[in-house]
Amino acid sequence: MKIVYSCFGGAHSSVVTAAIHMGYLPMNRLPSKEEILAVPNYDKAQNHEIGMPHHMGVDARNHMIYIMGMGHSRGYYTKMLYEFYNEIIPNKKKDIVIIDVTSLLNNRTRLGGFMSRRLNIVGIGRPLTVYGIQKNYRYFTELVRTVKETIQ
Amino acid sequence: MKIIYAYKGNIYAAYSAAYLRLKLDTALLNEIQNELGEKHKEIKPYYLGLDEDLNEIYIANYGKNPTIFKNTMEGLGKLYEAEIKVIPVN
Repeated sequence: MKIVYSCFGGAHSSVVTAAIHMGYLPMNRLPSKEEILAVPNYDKAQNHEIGMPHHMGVDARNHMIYIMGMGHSRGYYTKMLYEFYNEIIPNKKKDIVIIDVTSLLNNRTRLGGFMSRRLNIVGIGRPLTVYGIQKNYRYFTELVRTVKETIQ
Repeated sequence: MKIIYAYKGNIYAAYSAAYLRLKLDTALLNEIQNELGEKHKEIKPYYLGLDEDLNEIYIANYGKNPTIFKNTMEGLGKLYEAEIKVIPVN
């Protein structure tokens, strides 16, 4: 199974969710700023990369974990991807799931992400994204727990 | 390979490009020009046929952003080792 965590830019919420899923970040405690910043692909995606899937690893159940930014129209592109998937692999059992994690974001991470990725004010934006992620961290772990329980 | 002619507002232009690739008579489009938009309300790629190199030709609305559409579709192809090319038609 391929599990794709999607968000707006593929730089923060999807990366953190995938990192928790992969075990790069802890499930049972709040990670430090340094731990979050050490996650591969965190606050790295460029605008022209939005839409490209990035491989984050293979989990303990052999699921392939990906992250993907989808901009404002996540619902539209998710539907289009599922439809096109059916064209590419018509006879195979469905083996991809796309999970939009944008609802886990708060305004601190949104603002920080905008400053860091769009305005290139990384010095202020990046720490703000981390602060926002830490504030909502329990929601990220709850989502990953649910995903792992649901997708065997 | 799967080739998607992607459009935003001008579905007629995308159909024309696809018809040329498929070596179909674009004059045929004049008769159905007004119905094209009605036929493509669902969010999905529409299969039109095979070109002479056996590429599968599709038409799809790229939504708000052609770059994101191209990246997502071609990215999906990479995940499944399917060669996909998106051609935005503006």
